[in-house]
Order: sequence, then structure tokens, then C-alpha cells
Amino acid sequence: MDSTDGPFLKVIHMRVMICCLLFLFSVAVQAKPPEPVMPSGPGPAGGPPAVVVTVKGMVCSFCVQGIEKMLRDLPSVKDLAINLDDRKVSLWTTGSPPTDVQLQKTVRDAGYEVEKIYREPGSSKKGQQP
Amino acid sequence: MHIGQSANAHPVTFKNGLAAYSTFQPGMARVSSNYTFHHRAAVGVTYLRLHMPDERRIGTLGQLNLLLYRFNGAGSQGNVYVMGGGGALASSDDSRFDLKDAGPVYFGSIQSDFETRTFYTALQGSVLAHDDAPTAWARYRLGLAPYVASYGELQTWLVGQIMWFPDMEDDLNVTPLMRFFYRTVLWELGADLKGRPWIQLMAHF
Repeated sequence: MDSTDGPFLKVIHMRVMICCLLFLFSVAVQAKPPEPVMPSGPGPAGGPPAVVVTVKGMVCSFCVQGIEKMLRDLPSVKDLAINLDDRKVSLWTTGSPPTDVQLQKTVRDAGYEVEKIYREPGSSKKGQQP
Repeated sequence: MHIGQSANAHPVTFKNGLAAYSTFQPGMARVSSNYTFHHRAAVGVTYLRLHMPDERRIGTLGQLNLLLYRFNGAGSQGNVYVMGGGGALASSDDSRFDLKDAGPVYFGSIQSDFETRTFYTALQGSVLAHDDAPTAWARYRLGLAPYVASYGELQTWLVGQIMWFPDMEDDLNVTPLMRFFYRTVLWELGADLKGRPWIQLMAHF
């Protein structure tokens, strides 16, 4: 950048500042309690997750935010934890957990594939396979 | 400066996802947004402002992004996207634009990428048509993660970007940059080998 870009540079600086402020704001509004460290550890209800889904393609934490958002929108999901190391999404639920069909559709809509679904013994029976 | 230097970071996100991103370089500012209405398709709009040595341009473009193919592996993901669209671009040799003189502009692009948790590579080819003969360009990126962050933590990438503009005198642009992810926000900071800065910000909701 040279001196001829003076006024333009000021505009760029202002836009960069605005974007930085927007970034800080977006980070601030996303502050939430820390997630459980171990997917199989106690959740908000003090017990193991009702459902643990192994997902293929989960390598980018930025992109995986979509999985979290869509699964949290399921009515019965009370809390969830995502572990990229073992590619597992753990769900703590209230009432009847999501069926296999619901989980596969939700994960697909997020752009990923379900590899395996594990249900805690005693949770609701799985739904119909696709 | 060239519209191609501001390629989409994530052309398709997740169903009902909304993405906003912006890119800043000397001579170019771009603000875009897209909405993913299907897990394989998104529509978007871009506002672009270019400052060239002898003229300035502003434009608005609409586009459709399609995820043609996705490979979801045990520890990797690969994608192929195709994007296309058009709009209007107005030019002026001073700061005043007469939008009645705006001409149509069309573009198309194909992008492929592959990544693991520590390695990322992407290749993109694009073409743009406005007023005169179409121009084409290509971009290649190679990224390495110096550490692996857990979900919800700050992830850092070291990325090398090479852009080739066969129709331009300054046809090769090499930009080392750093890419950061934190939750739903991505930002890139860097400068090319001639010292021209690169800033890109993206957030999805």
C-alpha cells in the first residue's frame, strides 16, 4: 500500500475494525458452559449419554459446528458433546431419544455420514432403519 | 486485483445454515453471504468493490453453489464444489457510478479440497466474463496444522496459497497466511510476497 491509497486505506482500516468488532461480538455471544470432557462421562443429568453417534468426515471443528447446531435443534436432545479424536457425538436426552432415522437424516443434513449408533441399554429402542 | 482472490471458503455449509464472509486486500473489498437450503446446495449474494489504477468498479452478483461430491472418511473429508452466477458490474474513473451503465458479469468455478485434522489442500479454477473476453484463474492451497485442537478450541492453520492469473502481467501471486477457527468464526491473515495484505473473515449461523 502506498500514499496514494490514503483515503482508501482509511476506509479499509475502518472496515477491518468493524469486522474485528463483529468477530469479537460473535465470539462473546457464543460463550457457553464448557462441554463434558469425556463423551462417556456424566452429562447434565449425571449419567452416561443416551446415544453415542460415530460420524464420518468430522475433521474440521468449524464445519462440525453445523452438526452441533442441528442436533441441538432436535426436541429431545438436552445436551451433547463432540469429540473429534474418536469422531463421536454423545447425546443426553429427555423423553424418547431421537430414532436412528432422525439421527441419520440430521447428520446427513449437516453434511456428514453416520458410521455407527450406540444406545445406552435401557434407552428407547431404535427406530426403523432407512 | 481480481475477483478470484476472494474465493469462497465454504460454499455449502449445513442445511438452513447462513454464512457471511468478507475479504479485504488493497484495491478490493468483498462482502458475501450464502444460505444453504439443501445439504448440497446454497444460494448467495456478493457485493464487490475494486479499486484499479485507472478506474473503480462496484458490482453485485448472485450465485448458486453446489456440492457435487463429498467423501466422508474415517479421519478425512474430500469435496468437489461447482459454483456459478452473475450480476452487474459498473465502472467509473472517479468516485461516481452511473448504475445505468452497469454491464452484466458472469462467473463459474469448480473447487475441490481434501483435509484431515492436520493437513488441508484445495484447488480451484474459475472463469469470469465481463465486457470483453473471459478471464480465467486458478488457486491452490496447502495447509498444515501445527497442533490439533479439541472441538470448541482455537484451531490454527499455516497455509500457503498460490494464485495464477494467466491473462495478467503479474500472473503469479504467492501468499502465506494463517487461518484460525474458533467455534463458528474463521479468519485468515496474511500478506503476499510483495507485502500486500490479505484479510478474510467468515462466520456461520
